[in-house]
Amino acid sequence: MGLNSPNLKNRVPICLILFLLQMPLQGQDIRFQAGDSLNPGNGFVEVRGLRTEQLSKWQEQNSDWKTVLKVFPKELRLEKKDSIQPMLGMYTLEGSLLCFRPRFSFREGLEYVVELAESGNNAPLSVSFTVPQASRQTSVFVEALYPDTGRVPANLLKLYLHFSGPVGLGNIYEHIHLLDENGVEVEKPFLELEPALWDKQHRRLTLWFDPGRIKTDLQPNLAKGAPLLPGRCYKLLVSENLRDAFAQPLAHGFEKNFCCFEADRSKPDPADWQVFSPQAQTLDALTVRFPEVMDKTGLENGISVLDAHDQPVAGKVLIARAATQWDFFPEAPWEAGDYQLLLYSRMEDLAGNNLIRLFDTPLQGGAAQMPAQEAFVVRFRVVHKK
Amino acid sequence: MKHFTFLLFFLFMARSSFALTYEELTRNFVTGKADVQSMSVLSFGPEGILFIGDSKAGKVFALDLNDRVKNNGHEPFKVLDIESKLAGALGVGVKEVVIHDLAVNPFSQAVYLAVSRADAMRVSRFILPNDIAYATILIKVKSDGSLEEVPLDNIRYSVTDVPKVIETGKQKNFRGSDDRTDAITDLSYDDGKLYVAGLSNEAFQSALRILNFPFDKEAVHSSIEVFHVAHERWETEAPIRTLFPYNVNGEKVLLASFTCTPFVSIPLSAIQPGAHVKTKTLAEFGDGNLPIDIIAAEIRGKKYILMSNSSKALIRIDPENLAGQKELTEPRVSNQYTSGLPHDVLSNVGISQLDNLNDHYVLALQRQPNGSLDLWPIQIKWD
Repeated sequence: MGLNSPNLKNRVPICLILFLLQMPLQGQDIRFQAGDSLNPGNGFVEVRGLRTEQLSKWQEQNSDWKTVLKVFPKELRLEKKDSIQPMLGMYTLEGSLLCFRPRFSFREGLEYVVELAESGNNAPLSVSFTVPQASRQTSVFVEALYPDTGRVPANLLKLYLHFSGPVGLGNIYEHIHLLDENGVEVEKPFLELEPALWDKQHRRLTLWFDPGRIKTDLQPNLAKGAPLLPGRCYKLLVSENLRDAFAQPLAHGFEKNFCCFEADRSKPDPADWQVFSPQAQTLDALTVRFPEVMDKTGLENGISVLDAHDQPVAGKVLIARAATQWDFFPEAPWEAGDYQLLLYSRMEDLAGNNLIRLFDTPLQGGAAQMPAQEAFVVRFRVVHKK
Repeated sequence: MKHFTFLLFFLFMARSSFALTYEELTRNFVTGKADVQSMSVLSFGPEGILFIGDSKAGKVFALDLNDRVKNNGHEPFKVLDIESKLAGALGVGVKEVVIHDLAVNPFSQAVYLAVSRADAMRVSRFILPNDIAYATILIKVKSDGSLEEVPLDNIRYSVTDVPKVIETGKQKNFRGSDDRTDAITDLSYDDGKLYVAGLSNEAFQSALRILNFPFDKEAVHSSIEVFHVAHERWETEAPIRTLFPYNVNGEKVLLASFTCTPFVSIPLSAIQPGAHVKTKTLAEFGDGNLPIDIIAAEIRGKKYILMSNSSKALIRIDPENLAGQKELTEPRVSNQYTSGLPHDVLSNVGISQLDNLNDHYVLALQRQPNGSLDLWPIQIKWD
C-alpha cells in the first residue's frame, strides 16, 4: 500500500511554482493517502516538509490547526465559498509532518480540496484530490423486465422490473424513461406512486401505466391521451444512476424495446385455454396454455390444483413461453383420478382485463354491480400411460 | 416550635414536589462511551440533560452535555443554508446530509441536531429521515453558526431499556421501511416522567410508555387506539408521531398527533400498566401529511400550540378551545379535509423541525422558497 500520488492536474502547477520560485514552497508537499482498496475513503491528508519558521510562528500564535489546514468537498467550496465549514477531524503534528484524519471518512469518487494557510496575505496553497472508488465484487442490475415479449397491447397496464439485489426507496421515477421510436421521451407515462410499489425484498418494482390515461374518456385520457399508441414502438430505459439499497449506482443501465398492437378490449376466456393433463405415476408438468400473454405476477398465484378430495396438490409453478404457459410440477407423482383446476377470476391479461371484468369499463351503479365470482373450475383427469 | 415544624414539613413537601437539582438528577450517571445506535428523536429535560430515543437499540439515553451556562437572553438565532455547512463538516455533497431531529437546550439555548450522512433526495413527504438511515452524529450549532460534533465516547450518561419494542425485521411500514425505525417516534419530559411513543411487539402495536427519570426499573406500557376521521375507523397500529404534555383546565394531558393527521388528547391518568387507551380525537388536520413537532409558545402575550408538518404549513391552535372540543367519532363526509378544533394555518411553509428558543423566538428548521434549508427564528414577542 504505497503512497498515492496527488491528482496530477494539481501537482503540475505546484511543481512549476517550485521550479520558478525555488524558495517559499520548497519541500512542502500536500498529499492524500487513501485507505485500502475496499475502503479508499478511510484515508488521511498529510503535509510534509513544513518550514520551521512557519511552524514556530503557528506555535507561537497558538494557532488552531483548523485554521491552518482545511479540507473541503471541492464542488461545495467553489459554489459556496466562505459560507461552508471545513471537514471535522483530528490533526496531529510529528516533526514537520502535519496529518489530518477526517472524523467521517472521505466519500468515494468525490473531489476534495486541501488549503494550507500561507504567511501574510498570500492566498492559501491549495491542492485537490479525488478519492478512488472501492473495488466491489457485485453491483445491482436489472435482471428482467416483464412482460418479456416484444409486442404488447397499446393498453398495457403494468411493467415489472426485477433487480438482482435490493434497491433504494425513493427517487425512482427520474431514473426510468420511456422513449418513442424517434427518441422522444413519453411524458409521465407511469403513475408515480410514492412510496413506489416494491415487493418486500425491494427487488421487484411494479410500474403502472397511468390508468387515468388508459381509461377512455377520463380527464387525463382526454387531456394527454393514452401513454402508448398502437403501431408505435418504444424503448424503456433504466438509468445506471438509480441507486441500490446501499446508495450505489447500478452496475449498468437497462434498455428494452417493444412495439404495440391494437388495444386489448376482451376478457381472457378460460374456454379458449388448453389444459394438458400429465400421466399418472409421473412428476410431469400439468400445463395450461393461453392464446395471449398473461400478467406474469398475477398468473403465479392465479391457479390452484385440487385432488379428488378437494385438497390442494402441493407443487411448484413455472411461468413459461413469455407468460403464455403455466406449468405445475407436483411434489409427489400424480395419481390416477379426477382433479380440478381453480382459475381465480383476478388473473389478468396485459391490459388488466381479468376473467370477469374489462379494465376499461364504465361502472354503472358502483361496485355493487361487480360479479362476485371468485374462481372458474376446470376438471381434468389423470390416467395411466396407455 | 409547632410553627417551625410545620414550616420544615412544608419546605420538605415543596422541595420533593419541585424539580430535582442537577446533582440529584445525574447521581446515577456513569462516565464512558454512550453506545447510541440511532438518534431517532432528541428532547431536552431539565438542567441541560438531553434525552435520545434510540429506536435501533430500543433504549433511551440521558446525556449530561455539560452545557449548563444559563442563558436568559432573548436573541434570535439564525444559520442560513445549514445543509451546506453540514456537508462541509461531514465531507460530502450537499444532498448527502440529513437532519433527523432538532432540539434546543432550554438552559443554554444551544442548538443540537441529530444528523446522518444519507441520500437526502430520498426524503419526501411520506419518507422520513429515520426511514432511510439511522442518525449517529450529534452536532452542536455554535452561536457563530459553526458546527462541532458532540463526541459520545467519553460522556456522563444514563440509559434505560424501553419495554416491549417491536422486533427488527418483523414487518415494513407503508413508507417501505422496517417498523423498528418507529420503535421510538417521540419523547417528552415532564416532572420526573418521560413519555415515550412508538411501536411495540404486542398485538396493538401503537404504544405509549412512561419512564421515570432518573431512570429506574419501573416502566409503564400502554397500548393506544385512535379514531381516524379520514380513514373512517379506529386504529391501533399507527404510532403517535409527536406528543407533549399540556395542562387543560388544570388536568395534565398528553397532546399528540398521528400520520394523516388526527390530533388527540390523552389524560395522563389513563396511562396505566397494560392499559389499552382510547385517545380522544379533537381534530383532524388533513390526510397526506405527517405531523413532526408540537410545542407551546406564548405569541404576543397569548398562549398557543404550534405544530409543524411534513406537507402542510405551520398549524396554530388556541388552547382555550381544547376543553370544549367534542370528541370526533364519525367518519368524514366526502371531500372534507379537516375537522374538529378550529385552527390557523400560518404563513410559514417548509417548516419541519420546531423548538422553543427563548421567550421571544421559536426556532424552526425551514426549507425556504429558494431551496435553502435554514435554522430560522420565528419572532413571537417584541420588546
